[in-house]
Formats: sequence, C-alpha cells, structure tokens
Amino acid sequence: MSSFVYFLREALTGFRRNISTAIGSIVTIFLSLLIIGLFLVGTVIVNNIVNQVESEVAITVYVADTADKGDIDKLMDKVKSNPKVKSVGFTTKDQALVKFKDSMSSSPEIINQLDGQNPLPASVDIELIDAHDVNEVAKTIENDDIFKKICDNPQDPMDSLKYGQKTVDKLFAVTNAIRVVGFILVALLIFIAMIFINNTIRLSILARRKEIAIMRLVGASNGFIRGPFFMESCLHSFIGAVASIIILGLIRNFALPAMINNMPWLPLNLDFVTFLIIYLVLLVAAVVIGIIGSALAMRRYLTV
Amino acid sequence: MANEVDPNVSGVPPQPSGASGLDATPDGGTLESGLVSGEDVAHSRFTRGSARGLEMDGSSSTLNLPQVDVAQEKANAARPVITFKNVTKIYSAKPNKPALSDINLQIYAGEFLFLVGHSGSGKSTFIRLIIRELTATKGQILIADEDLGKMKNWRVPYLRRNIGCVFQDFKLLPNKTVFENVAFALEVIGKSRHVVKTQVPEVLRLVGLGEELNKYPDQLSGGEQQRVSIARAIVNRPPMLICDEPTGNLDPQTSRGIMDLLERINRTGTTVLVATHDREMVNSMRRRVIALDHGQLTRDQDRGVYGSNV
Repeated sequence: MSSFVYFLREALTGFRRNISTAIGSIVTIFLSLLIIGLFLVGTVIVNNIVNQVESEVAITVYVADTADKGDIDKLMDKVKSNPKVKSVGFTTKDQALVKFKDSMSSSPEIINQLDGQNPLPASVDIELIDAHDVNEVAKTIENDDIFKKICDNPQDPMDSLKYGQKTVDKLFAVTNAIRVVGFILVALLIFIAMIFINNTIRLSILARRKEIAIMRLVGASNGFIRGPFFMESCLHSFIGAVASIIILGLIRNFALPAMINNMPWLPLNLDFVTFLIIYLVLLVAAVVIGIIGSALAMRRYLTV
Repeated sequence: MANEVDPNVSGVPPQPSGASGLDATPDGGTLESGLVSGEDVAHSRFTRGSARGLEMDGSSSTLNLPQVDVAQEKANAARPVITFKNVTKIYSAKPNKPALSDINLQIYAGEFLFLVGHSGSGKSTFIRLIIRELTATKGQILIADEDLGKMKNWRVPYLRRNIGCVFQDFKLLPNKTVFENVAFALEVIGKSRHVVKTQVPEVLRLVGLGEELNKYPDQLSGGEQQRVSIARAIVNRPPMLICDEPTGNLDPQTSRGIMDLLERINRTGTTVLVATHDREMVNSMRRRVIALDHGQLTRDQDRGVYGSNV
C-alpha cells in the first residue's frame, strides 16, 4: 500500500515535470479514442438504420373479397405457428383504403377518381423475426392450399403474394456489405489508434530509458521502476479517455438532437446504455493499452 | 591501532589523519556511529567488525594477528567477499582485444583497495562486472558466494543494494532533485519517509551539499554532481562501496575531504574499492593497489604506490 502511494506520488511529480510530453501523449490518446468513439457511435447508428430498413421487409397476402372468414383465420393461424414469424395482422378493405388515402393525400385527384368505390383488397400482413427468412416463409405460404383458395387472384397466386421478390435480395446484399465494411473500418481504426497510443507511450519511455537504467544500477527492482511509469501512463490514458468521453457526451446531448430535428426519418436517437457501453469500452481500452504499451516498451530497458 | 604499529607504513599515517579529519567535521560523528550501528545483518559477509581485517592479508609480519581473533572471525577472513576466477571480458565491438583477460583476484571484507591503470586499461569494465552491469565472457565472479554468471535477473537489484557505486559519469536522475536522487537509494529498499527525511540531508551535509537539496543535477557543477553521486552511494550504508574516479572532477582540497570520508567509511567495516588516476592520493594512503594494463592484471600489491609504469 505504501508503495502504491509512492508510485502515485512519483507519477504525479513525473507528470508535472514532463508536462509537455504528458500533454502530447494525452492529446494523442484523446484524439485516437475520440475517433474510435465517433466511429462506434456511427456504426451503431448505421446498424440501426440497416435494421430498420430490413424490418420493413414484410409479406403481404392479398385476400379475395369473396374469401371465407374461417379460411382467412385458418391461414393466419397456420402462418403464426411458423417459428420464423413475428406477428400476423389483418388489414380490412376499409383500413386499406384509409391507408391508401393517407399516402395519397398530396394528390387528391387520384382519390376523387375512385368515385367512392373501394378497389383495394383486404390483406394478411406478416412480419418476420429475421428479415432474411422472407424467401423461405413466402415459399411455404405460396404452396399452401388455403392460400391458393382465398388469394385475390386465383389465376396467378404469386401475384397476391408481395414481399419485394426482386429487390429483397439486393437490399440484403447492400445491408450486409454496409455491416461488413463498418466492422472492418472500426476494427482498422481501433488497430491504428492502439498503435498510435502505443507509439506515444513508447516514445515517452524511450526518452527516459537512461533513467530506467540508472534506477536499475542503483538497485531498484523492476517492479519498483515500473510502478510510477505504469501509474503515469494510466493517468495519461485516463485523462485522454475522460476528455474523449466528455466530447462524446456533448455530441450526444447537443449535436445528435439537432441532427434528429433535421433528419427525423433516420433513427439517430441512441439510448444512454449504448453510450455508457461505448464510454466504458474507451476507458478500459485506454488503460489496458497504457499498461501493456508501457510494459512492452520498458521490457528492453529493464535488462541492465 | 595496528596500522600505527606497523613499521612499513611510510609518509603520513593514514588513520590518525583520517581520525582528525573526522573530528573536525561537526556532524561526522553522527554518521560514523550510524554506520556502525544497525547494519550487522547486511554486513555479515561483506565486512568485519574492525580494521584488523586489513592486516590479515597483509605482509608476513602481521600474519600472526588473526590468531587473536575469535574462530568465527577467522572463518570469515578465509573467505573472500569477491573472487575473480580467470575472468575474461570481450566486448563484441572489439573481439580481438579483450577488455579484461584472465583476471584472478580476491577481495576480502573490510579492505580498502585502489584500482589503477591507464584509460582503457579495463578499470571501468572491472567495476561494471562487479555490479553485474556486464557479465563475464569467460571465467567466474563470486560475490558473497554467489556466482554472478548464474545470478537471476531479479536477484541483481539485491546485489546492487549491497554495493554502493559512485559512477564515473555520476548517473544522476535528471528529473529528480539532489534530495530525491539521494532519497531514491533509500526508497528502493523501502525505507519510510521519516528515515529518508532525516538521513538524506545528513549525508548531503557530510559531502558539503547541505544547501543544494532542491537543485536539479544540471544546475550543479561537475564536482557537486560527483558528491551527490557519492552521497547516494553511501546513504543506505552498503557493506561495500565502489568508486569510479570519485575525485576526478574535484579540487585537491575537496578530494582530500572525500578521501577522508571514504577512509572513515572503510573504518566502519565497509569494503572500499576506488578506481583512480590520483597518484598523490594512492601514494599517501598506502593501501592495497591493483594495477591493470591493457586488460591484464599487472600488479597486486599491499600497501602499494601508484607506480611509475601506470
């Protein structure tokens, strides 16, 4: 315990006396962590967007006006029993018309042309747990006898089953590419930042290698020499991490709300837990890099 | 003391002059008493209780002296603290020119030795081998029965804590003040703040730097830095003290003061090894002299002089 206090005191005096080196490495650590943090936030946002886009992939079964209510319920029960299906809903003809009128509210002449008639079919709406299963689930519905019986267009049952057959595959290709690229980018960035931080620590220890050798020659044990250095790089990492966390916090509280106001269609509002995890990751990563980096850098000079 | 009786001692008898120097220093007595007390354990292999040890490996006229000692002391006397067995050191930069070749040597506890020789004769290599800054290319170095060649890296600090070393280039920590530099030697052995705060100023006053506590090494002159280095080497009262050119940058008066100090430390039982070019000092003190020339041990003489060939 007394040596812990000694290490801390030494680290603080070392900090004061090498203030320019200290500020240099703190700024490096701060900027590296800030960029990592921004990219992590960015990745989470992009992931949210991709998820939202994917979740809009749903299967719509258009039902004939003449279809039997019991058949429709049977089909719905059957689909619901599929473990890949999240929910099944039913849209009546009237509801479909209301929806249509809503979406067409900007061009009322189209609604007027309907002449009070309702050409829209009722539909069964199926949401999936994982959007990637859409083809498979659609296939099973397509081959279902009840579906063939009640579908809106018995001549071509496929026509009554809408799930963006052509576009869904392309969409998934794009969203997967975005995920992979985002992951690689973050990994690369973390790697670069780690090397950056490690190099900074290495340089600050290189500058004091003679000191380390002298301490060895005066009879200090390796642990005794390492202590203050570890403490010092922990201090640098900690300050750098806290600074980057403060900046990320400001972004969360001021920049993100402004962006949400300007682009309400993007799911930008991340919950606090996500940010808390990112903060923790940054803090722990910084301190771990600090200790490992200085341990590796010092190893060479402790052999005297 | 035995020294004064010995007719071989010519010139100024070292002991009385040292003693008078000690008395002249107002706070010298405290250190001396401090050096004697509370170090029995640490000194067990490096030192003996009195300066009598000096005479035992001396000339034949004093060989009978150990017989008056207790048996334990005789046993200790027979075992040297430092033994060099056929030690050769070759630097990889100069594979054909060994820095030291085939050195055989024994150093006993409580001795005061001078190591003399030209620049490049291997003095510093000799010292660096003892503190295991270097390892021997061939041969064996035993310190307190421990083979330095086989010593584990983590054991090395414990060896160095028992050997105070004044380096030729001082090796002061540039980011620490004079006080902190000296305090470091105490901090590494885990002394409390209180001990550090009382002992460091005392030792610094002893080397004449009582007023420079809070200066940094680069604010001091060469001689002052050297004295800080000496203070650091003796502050933890090591059983052995090695000085590489301890008076090289000092004026004659300060040199004399430093040598008095070393002698006083030696009289407390500390083994002292001094590498030096100071002919006058070696000649006046008449201690064991080891001469190196081009890596060869050319002379090992008790009560020796600097010699004309070096």
